[in-house]
Amino acid sequence: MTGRDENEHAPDGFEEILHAYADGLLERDPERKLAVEQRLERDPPARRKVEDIKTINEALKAAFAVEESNSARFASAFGPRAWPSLPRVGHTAAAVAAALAIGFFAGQLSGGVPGGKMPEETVAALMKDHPDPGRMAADAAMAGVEAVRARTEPDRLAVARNLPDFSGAGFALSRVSRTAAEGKTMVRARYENPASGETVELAVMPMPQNSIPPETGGAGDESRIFWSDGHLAYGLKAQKGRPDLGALARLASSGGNWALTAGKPVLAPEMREVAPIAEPLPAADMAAPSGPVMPSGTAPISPAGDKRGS
Amino acid sequence: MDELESYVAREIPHMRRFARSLCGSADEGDDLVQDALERAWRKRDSWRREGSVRGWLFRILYRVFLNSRRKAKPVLADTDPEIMADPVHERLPPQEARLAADDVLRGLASLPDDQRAAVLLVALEGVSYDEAAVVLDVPIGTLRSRLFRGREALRQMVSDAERMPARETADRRTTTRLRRVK
Repeated sequence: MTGRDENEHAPDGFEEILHAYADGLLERDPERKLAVEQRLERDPPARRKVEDIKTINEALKAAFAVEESNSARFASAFGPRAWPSLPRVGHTAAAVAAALAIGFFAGQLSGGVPGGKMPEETVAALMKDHPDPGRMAADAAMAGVEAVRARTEPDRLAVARNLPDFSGAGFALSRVSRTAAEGKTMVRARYENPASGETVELAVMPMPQNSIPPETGGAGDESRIFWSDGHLAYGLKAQKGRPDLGALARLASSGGNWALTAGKPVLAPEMREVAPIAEPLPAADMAAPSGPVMPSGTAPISPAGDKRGS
Repeated sequence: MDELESYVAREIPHMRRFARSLCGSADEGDDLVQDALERAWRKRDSWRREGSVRGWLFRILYRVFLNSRRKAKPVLADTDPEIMADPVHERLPPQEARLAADDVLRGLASLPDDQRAAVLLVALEGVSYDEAAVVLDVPIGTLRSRLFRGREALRQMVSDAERMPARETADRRTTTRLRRVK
């Protein structure tokens, strides 16, 4: 920009008419159109300019075709939403999914992340301020994303408040951390069952493009379950069969655990068929003899490590 | 689906094209459309029935775009492979399609956001000057100024490319190609 008034560069009247003619705006003014065409016959530079403008117009149309097929993601964009709008990120869902898959499921981010054992006073503050422990992991991830964009540290206490509650299954939050994968914030939490000694890890990160139905898998001694609701992606990881990750995923996704959605479960469509768990789950009932249990309505898939790690 | 929803649904393909061309990226463009649609829903009371739904949506989309641009750098420098996959290009020889898109996208990338938006609204979307001025929320004189300067910059870029000796062969093809797509 030159800093001068833009109107200072406005073309003269004939130049303006040339552009209008090239843009087809004189079709409703035949007399003017005819006058321009007569002028163009005896003015080669003006004729060349009109040709160039038309050429640029057509080249632009050739470069950017109208996308007639509306992708599913827009079907409900113009409509009421139970889910708060997320900051958009400029990567494809596949890239984010890969980041989650590689980072979380391969366990490469399992160490060296900020955070640590939550101090007792933090836990006490949580329970004091929020006697209803069910909170939204989405909010935690959003807080993390916004903090990264603003280059500030998120309020760790606020993040911890917004993690889902697994106490119904006997698990208590023991660690919370925030890290990044492929430039995206990932909120990670670790839960422990003091009675059984079992642990489970939850990872949440933005995935603003596609819903992904729950996918279970595992490698070695680990069980995993992964899903995305089109805004956030979730991963749960635990030792195989201890506990049942499918049940925990349903618990994490049940309406009662998601305060900001006013009781509505925010799930991938495939998981909406799963009835929320109304009663606390005894830890003993969560153990599955043959690996993770898939929520109903989902198709079996290959292990996430095989599918996503490539 | 109410009246406005059906109108909006019809405009989504045009919103996507405008957004993709503004952003230079299919992914960013679609994100922009989604954000704009969400905002449009929240602001649906601002739609005047006598006005053009497309103009109303484009105006919202452009505002969302400007807001996002304050936080991020443009990424128009490279040709997006997804844009190259447009059906129009499939009808052209791949090399010529590549050159055509390269020229256009390179030229667009060199334009300031306001000039690029003016050029795209008029040249690509066929919006009238008056309506484009409303969409961009500028006086009609400013719209014309941005449009003409943007086009002149695009013309200059094509001309400069044609004068480059290293691209002499390609230039002839470019000139031929640009005439062919008319």
